[in-house]
Amino acid sequence: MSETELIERARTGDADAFGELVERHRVAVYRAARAALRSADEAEDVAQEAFVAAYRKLDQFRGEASFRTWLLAITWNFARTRRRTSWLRLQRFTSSDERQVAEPPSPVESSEDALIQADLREQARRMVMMLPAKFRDVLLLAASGDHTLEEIGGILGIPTGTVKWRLSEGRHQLKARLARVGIGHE
Amino acid sequence: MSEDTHRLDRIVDEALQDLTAGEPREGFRGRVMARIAAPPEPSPVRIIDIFGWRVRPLQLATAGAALAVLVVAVVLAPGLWPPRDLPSSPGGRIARGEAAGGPGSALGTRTGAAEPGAAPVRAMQAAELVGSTGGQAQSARLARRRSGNELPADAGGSAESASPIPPVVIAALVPPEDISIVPIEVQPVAIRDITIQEIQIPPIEGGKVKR
Repeated sequence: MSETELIERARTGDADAFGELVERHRVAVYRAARAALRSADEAEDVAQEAFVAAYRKLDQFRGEASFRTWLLAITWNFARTRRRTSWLRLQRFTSSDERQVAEPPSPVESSEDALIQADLREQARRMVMMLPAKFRDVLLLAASGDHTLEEIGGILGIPTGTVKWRLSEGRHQLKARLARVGIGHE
Repeated sequence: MSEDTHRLDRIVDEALQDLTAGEPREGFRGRVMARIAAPPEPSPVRIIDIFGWRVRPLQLATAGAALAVLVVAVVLAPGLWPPRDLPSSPGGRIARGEAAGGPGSALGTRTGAAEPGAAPVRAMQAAELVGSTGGQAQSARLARRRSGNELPADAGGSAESASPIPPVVIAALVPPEDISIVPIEVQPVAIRDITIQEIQIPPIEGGKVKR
């Protein structure tokens, strides 16, 4: 069934049709929320909120943008609102996420190398989170691999050209910061 | 591209993927549908019904605060103004304390106790303060006669008595509530004709201001 048909049926109250939409977009929505929020639990909660809000506002969807872009924009607004809450912001920088443990070292790597690699990645993650939000958001949304540049522009409300520039500049700044603390040099 | 750059790129990619990877847990769809099926959560903001008007507490508090500020501005602010006691000048002075207490006081009107001739006295004093020309002195005398507070002839200003106080300062010191009760034929003299340099009062014929 096409997405348009699913939307029309969901508008008439067909829960199964909307459930199918949830199934199709759950990963993209979750990852958009994840790009704004450090905590996986928070991201999932926001993703659920976004779907619920989309269901209730389905009448307001006029089809000017794709359903997916509309849904991601709702998600991003929820995620940003959540991020603004100060205690959550604090949690974002201080709590460790149980689902974000560094990948186990491959058998070929020695334990020392694995520890060094894990430490490097942790430092790099911190550097990402220290980037200005306008660069960080674009970098994370793009890195999720679920959103095109046009979609990212739609989510953030900026032109695609600006998305490209922020992507390039954000990456440049990140690498410069990493190089400044000696990461990346043998 | 150097090896360092490659290495940096790889570290950046890995860090970004670490931060965005993952999927919602099993049963995500079911949890969403359960939330949709559940009745909407009540808004954390309580809506208050006031005579049929549905207002939020924040709106109510804002309206209350605005009203309080307005009351303070209207009732208390004039009392907070700087004293209008001016140094002695050849033409006289606008003394808040004296004017507020004495008969015929213009400031008496602030408390609703305006006495006959109060406003003309104010205009007269202002005219005297900045130094009167012939026409100004005439209007001041006229105002004095109307108020019944005829002062000795030498008490008023003269054409030669220029005040050291700039008219702009005087204009700033005349409170708005005093201005509002000035009779119509005198008001333009006190307010409209104040310029940066001087107060100009048009000549008076037959008791009326000529415009």
